[in-house]
Amino acid sequence: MTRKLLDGNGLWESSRMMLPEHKYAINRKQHEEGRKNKPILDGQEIELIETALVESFHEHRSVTVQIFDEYQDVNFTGIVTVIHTYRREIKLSISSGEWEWIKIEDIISVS
Amino acid sequence: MASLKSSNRVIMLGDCQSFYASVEKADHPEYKDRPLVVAGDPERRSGIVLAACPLAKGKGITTAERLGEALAKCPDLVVIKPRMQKYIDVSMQITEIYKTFTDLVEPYSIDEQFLDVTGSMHLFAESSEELANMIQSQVQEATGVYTRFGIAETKILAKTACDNYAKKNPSGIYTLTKEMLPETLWKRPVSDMFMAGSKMTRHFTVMGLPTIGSVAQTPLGKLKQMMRRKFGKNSDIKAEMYWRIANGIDDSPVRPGTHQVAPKSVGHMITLPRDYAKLEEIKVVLLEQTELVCQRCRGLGFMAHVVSVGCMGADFDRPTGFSRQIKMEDPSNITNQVYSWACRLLEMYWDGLPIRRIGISVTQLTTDTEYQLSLFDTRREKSMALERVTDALKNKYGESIVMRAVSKTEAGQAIDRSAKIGGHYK
Repeated sequence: MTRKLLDGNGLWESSRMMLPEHKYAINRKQHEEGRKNKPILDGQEIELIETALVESFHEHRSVTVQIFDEYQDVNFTGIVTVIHTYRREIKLSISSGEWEWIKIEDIISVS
Repeated sequence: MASLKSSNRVIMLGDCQSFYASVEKADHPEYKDRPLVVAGDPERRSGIVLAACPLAKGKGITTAERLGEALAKCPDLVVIKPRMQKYIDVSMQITEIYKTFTDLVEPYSIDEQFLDVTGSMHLFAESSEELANMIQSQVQEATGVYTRFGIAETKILAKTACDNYAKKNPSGIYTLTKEMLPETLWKRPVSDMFMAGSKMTRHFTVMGLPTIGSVAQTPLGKLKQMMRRKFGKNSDIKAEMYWRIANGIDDSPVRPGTHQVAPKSVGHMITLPRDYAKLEEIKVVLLEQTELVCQRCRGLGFMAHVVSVGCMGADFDRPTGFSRQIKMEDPSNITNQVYSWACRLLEMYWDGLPIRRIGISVTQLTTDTEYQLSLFDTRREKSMALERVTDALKNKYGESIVMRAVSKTEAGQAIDRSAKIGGHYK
């Protein structure tokens, strides 16, 4: 018997009787409840995002880009090295040899 | 009437009375005034009473008793086969009702759930008992299930209040405060204590601790010493657990996301419909179970390093069987790989006597995003691709959409199993 029994929720997590199917259904429901719609950005906010991306491109300044996901937003930090105006994509260099192509429409904030 | 101090947490344990039976009664109003039980399938040895409605209990029928005995006590008993999926659905419907009162709801079993209403109680009611009463009638109205509530400042006291008092209270609601313990819980026999089974009760009695109060009032250091003498020095944590339970000390939170924690093991066990005595037959079931366990691992994104197999002999009077584990060369969640290790265990340790129960479980789980490439096993990628497809098919169309040919043999259980939850029909 380990110390865990007395810490946190240990007593209850070790003594409960849950059907695996029940647990699965609970987790699935919680996952679905965490689903969200993409925020609609104000025109000024979009301008700010674009300015920040262009600055990063010109001045090789590192930025953190927040990308929308239905369940959990993703953050990437790096320098914008390519801006594809036609495809509306940027290439974000995360570290040497590692990069990420990001669609500008998926970005919800840049800091 | 007891009331909690405003500075304390307000925790409730909501428990559903005769849950499966109540759900069936709500669904079959024609049986409203008749004694009713939900019982497993007698032909598959699972013919025991899973739940009895209060009317049936009044006739002396108890949970877990054999269906035959129950019918002897009450010949006009209504017997209904379990519908596990329905009970899960109703349980989650009740969770949703609880969640309209607080976001802190933690299911503890299919018919018991913790609620932390500390922050939201004032929005709905003047007192915790008034709130419990509101929740109780909402659940009754929506599902036909009667709920009982233990209310206290900790989870352990809420559970204790529910099990020992709320269930026997006409209102089905009971508040237990720490100040009340000496006059209430502490006077009760140690067998009423949470987590004290019949064995532990006997040990406590021998130690001269016949009541919950006597455990609570033994200084922790002394209780540890007493238990060490009986169980060795690894019993300190157990001693502290019982001491805290007896004193109502418990700082565990009500954690809604508690079921998202990564499992430590994944396993499956089955009671066979008849005794299996041939190695080939046992292997069929072992393969089917390995498939289920590996499939679950793949769904969770885990590989396992250790596999264990357990068998129980058919003869109840002379118990035989084994439970052994082995570490595989590399972690895996590929059915055929895990199965070959499971077979090794079976062939090594099975004594040749007929078996009644067989199970497999895997432990030491790691994520399956990285795995060891093998120079010799070139089929791995292929197996993985194949299982990705069969898993997707099963998720979409049900477990029986694609299965191994052996499952169609007489020994196969997979088809039957796919219609079940927790060993009972969906």
